[in-house]
Amino acid sequence: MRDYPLENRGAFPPHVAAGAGASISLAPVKGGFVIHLLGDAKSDEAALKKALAKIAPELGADVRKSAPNQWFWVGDADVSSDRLTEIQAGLPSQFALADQTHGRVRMRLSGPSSRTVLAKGTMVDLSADLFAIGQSAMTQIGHIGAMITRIEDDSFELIVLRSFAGSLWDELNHMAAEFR
Amino acid sequence: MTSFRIDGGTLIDRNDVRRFTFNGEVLTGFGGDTVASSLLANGKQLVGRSFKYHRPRGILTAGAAEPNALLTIGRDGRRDPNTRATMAELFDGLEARSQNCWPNVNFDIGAANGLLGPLLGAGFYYKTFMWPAAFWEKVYEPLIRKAAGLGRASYDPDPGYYEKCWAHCDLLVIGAGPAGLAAALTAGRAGVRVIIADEGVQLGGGLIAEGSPVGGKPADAVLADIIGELHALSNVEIKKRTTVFAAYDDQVFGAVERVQKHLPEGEINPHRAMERLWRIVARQVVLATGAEERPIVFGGNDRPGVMMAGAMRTYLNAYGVAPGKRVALFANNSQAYQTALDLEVRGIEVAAIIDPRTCPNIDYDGKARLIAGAMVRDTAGRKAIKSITVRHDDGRDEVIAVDALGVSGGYSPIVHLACHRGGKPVWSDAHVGFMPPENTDGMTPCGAVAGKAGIADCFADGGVAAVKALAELGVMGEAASLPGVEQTAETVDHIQPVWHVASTKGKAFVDFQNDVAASDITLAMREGYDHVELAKRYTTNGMATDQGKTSNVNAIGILAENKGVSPGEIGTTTFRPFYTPVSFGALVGASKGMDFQPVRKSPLHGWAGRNGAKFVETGLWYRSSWFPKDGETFWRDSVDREVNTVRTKVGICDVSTLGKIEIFGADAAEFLNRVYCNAFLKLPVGKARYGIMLREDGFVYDDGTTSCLGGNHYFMTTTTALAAGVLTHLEFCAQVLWPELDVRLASATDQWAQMAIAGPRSREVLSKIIDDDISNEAFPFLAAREVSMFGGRLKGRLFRISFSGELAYEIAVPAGYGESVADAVMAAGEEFGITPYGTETLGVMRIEKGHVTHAEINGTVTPADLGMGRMVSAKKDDFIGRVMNLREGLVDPDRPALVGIKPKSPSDKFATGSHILNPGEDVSLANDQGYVTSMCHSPTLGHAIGLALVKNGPKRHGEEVVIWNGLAGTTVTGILCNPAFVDPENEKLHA
Repeated sequence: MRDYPLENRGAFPPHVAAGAGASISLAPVKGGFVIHLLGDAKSDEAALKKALAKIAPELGADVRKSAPNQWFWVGDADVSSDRLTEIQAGLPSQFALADQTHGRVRMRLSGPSSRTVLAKGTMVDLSADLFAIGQSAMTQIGHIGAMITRIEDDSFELIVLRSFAGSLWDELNHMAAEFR
Repeated sequence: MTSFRIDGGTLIDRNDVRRFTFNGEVLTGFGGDTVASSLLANGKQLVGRSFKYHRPRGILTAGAAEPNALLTIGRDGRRDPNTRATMAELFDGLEARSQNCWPNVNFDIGAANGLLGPLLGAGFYYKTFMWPAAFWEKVYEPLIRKAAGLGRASYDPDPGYYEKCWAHCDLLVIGAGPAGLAAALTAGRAGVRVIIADEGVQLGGGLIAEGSPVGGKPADAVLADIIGELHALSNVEIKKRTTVFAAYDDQVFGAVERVQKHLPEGEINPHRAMERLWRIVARQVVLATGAEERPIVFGGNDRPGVMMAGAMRTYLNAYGVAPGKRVALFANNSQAYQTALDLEVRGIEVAAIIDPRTCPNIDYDGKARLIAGAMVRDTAGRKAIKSITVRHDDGRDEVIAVDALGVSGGYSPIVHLACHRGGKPVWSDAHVGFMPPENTDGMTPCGAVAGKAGIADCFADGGVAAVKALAELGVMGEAASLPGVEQTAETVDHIQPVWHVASTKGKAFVDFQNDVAASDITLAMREGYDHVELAKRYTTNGMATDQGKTSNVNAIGILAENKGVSPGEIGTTTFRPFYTPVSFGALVGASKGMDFQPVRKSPLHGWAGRNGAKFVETGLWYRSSWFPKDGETFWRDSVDREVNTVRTKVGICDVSTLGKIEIFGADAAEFLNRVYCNAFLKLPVGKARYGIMLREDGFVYDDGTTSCLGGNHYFMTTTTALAAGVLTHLEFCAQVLWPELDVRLASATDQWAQMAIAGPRSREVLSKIIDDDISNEAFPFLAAREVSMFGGRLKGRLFRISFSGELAYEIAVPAGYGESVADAVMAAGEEFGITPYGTETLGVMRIEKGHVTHAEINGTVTPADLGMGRMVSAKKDDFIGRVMNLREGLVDPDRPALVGIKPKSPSDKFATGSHILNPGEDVSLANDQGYVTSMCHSPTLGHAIGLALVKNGPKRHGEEVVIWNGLAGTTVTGILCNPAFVDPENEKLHA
């Protein structure tokens, strides 16, 4: 068999780089994984979360609620397909797993103006005392569905469908332009 | 600067001189001026012409309600028509023009309409231009529209950026006059999240124009202290230049913020919004929108120089502009006397105060002559007021020379936002006005909108309202108070309603913007349109950009007076958003041009681009439609070549946009069995099956394949168009219809790059990159399973399915690897002459094969109509659409059913949408046999082919029919045939 080159390309063109201003920066998160965990609808959510808490730390990842009894398990490590198979095999029986590493794109919006920029797109109230660090919301930014997770004080990670990533990237840059 | 600019003016900065043009004339004003204040300072009383009679009109108000002074401001793409001069801030280089006048505002040909005034009453056009009926649309209406009207929109694109935002707060305070400021202070001090919004440039409302000290301190100093404290509170967000224009359900409020409209072009930051549309979500609201001073309806009340008494006070105190040199006041209430005092303080002669009340009962100690029990019945002057005629209580007329007249007919609470959610305002005889509805649910009116008058009372009321709203939030608050002001008993102003001066001479206007006179209202009544909603529509009173802010209550008063009832019995028309006009720019936000809607790009988009694809928008997706090669100038050149190459060699097509859904769960098979009309319960692992989903009403909803990848794991594909719809449908089924089933659904459309490899050489190509055995025996038609690729370097999912009718596969790989894999397929296929192909070729090949898409699955067809009736399971207990699919009409053998169609003469062409007729029959609905759903040129057969839904079609193969194109007026003789033009025996699929 010929040695065909294989490259895992991100959703962003290679020239896309993080843009930063005094009060805002937007950067793609490259690599890592996004795994969709689908819990049995009949199981108690608290019990499912407990089961998740046991397995999540092994990848140094965090688990973000995406829907009733469903989570996105997100981390920066690169997970091979063999490793994924192992994880799948080791999952508690209440869970099904769908790899979304290629289907979901992560980007990070940070800086004192990040909430102002996001308020141009989402109706979720992201104020610091209501939206705690680690909290997630599945919402829309403009017309594009996205999951917002607060990572740090003024830093948010967005997860968006890969096909929309370019559009969202452009829109966020428009929204942030006045702070650059 | 003229002598109309006098001392004082809390809003203006005399060191900041600004030049602007008005109808081409260069004028100057100051920073802080509005266009209206600077025009008045320059002695420009005449600023526009009226809508219908082209009467000279001046500036009536100093705020949002302005009906007359509508100007076109700016030029090219930044031209804003119908801009209220009273709200537009002056900037250096501003260009303002009068509207609805030709050749100019001073000499307007259209004013001849005024001579016809007696003829042009309400309903004139409807009664006059009746015959011939066809003329209305083609002649009369265009002419009338040309003669009447406001400003014209620009045809140039607006270069400004606009955006929409969300905001959240515990308490939204609407209006920053004394009441609103007190509410914001009270709530701000209590620590809750407050947003205070005001349409003005500065917070303060009535405090800005207050000439008298408040609590022993100048009003502007008191205001500065309050604003200073609000700024210092980090939990208070101040939104100036922000009009809250609508109250929606669930405490969502619409507001528009004018961010850069007040800046000269050179100072506009292109990355900042010109205007922002806010959606403010508030837990509680304090409504402090104030009250609108009402005009009085008397003869010649529209002459330039006639102005609201309160507006005069604003121009005097806030802008340092004298409304005239010799001023009279006509007022039925005591608040207006303050204007007289302020005028006198500034050395302006107040010629007379005309008060209809016989005993005004006020403590006015000014110099002006007080004429009690009198009314103004007429004014004189050509383009500006020269004199007024006063009718004394003894019937005597007196002419008084003046160059300005201040009018006050009482105050109408600005209840709009309290009524947008359906509440009706309540009439109050004591306040002579409509008050906010009693139940405003989460909204507390206070200050002038609640009937309070005066700075002290309004401020106190605002504090009380905030304490009440805080209590609803579970927070204790203490009402803010004004230092040095002792709260006295509430003063009640005895207002004598004057809706219409009975002794009026000449036209007395109710609605200035629409040229509706008192006589029009009474005419409407005589003709039976006496209901307030009918009177509005018959006369146009209360319509257009100002929505009757200064006219509605007077019109209601006139209706009430004439019917001998209370205005409360007449009631108001319905209040709806928007409170004041909102620009299309703000409503559209950033969604224009290339940002009109998001773009979805396939993971193979870059690959397709590198291979020269022409893209086409399909929904949000950009799909590759064909791949021209050198020398191919016409799309058909490329498509014909692509089809021929796939049919004889091999091709690759991006099908990543198809919907993909991962289905898990112990009951997944049972679930699929219920959502598809054909059997899925026993689909073996490693197999794909074509499935049809019905709607509950028995018609086909969508089609696609579902593969079983493991015991409890299935992979469904949907059409591109219905990817989201099918997932929503499945979620509904899983969550609502059958919650007892264990089934979980994950959208995987974006996870996979999927490509079709089709053509007789496709297996040879794929064998070069797939490690597993994919021979016909090992991987037969409809096989579906995970495969190892590139010597174990990648795993993909391989499906042996075919839309083209050729030996074909679809290979799905994780999206990031899509481009590499497509490149590898191209390289592997080079020796076989592989071509990339797009959606056009996809379409041609599926028509040649007789495969259906949503051109056929158009919401009116059953599986039987598509020739797939036998797929509908008769054995299954139930599935969606089972019962309704058996309806009489849906099993009628005469129903249009799928058939192929081709021209009798191979050189003939026909169009999709053409109808089918029997030869010799007339064109009529009764004779209609069906219609063409899809057509293309078939490179394989060398002539046009099509699919059609024709009555009893499958039994009519070989029959000659007429293909009638009603749009083009052409007919072609066609022959009905088997829809599978290519390989009807399916030999290629199994090769």
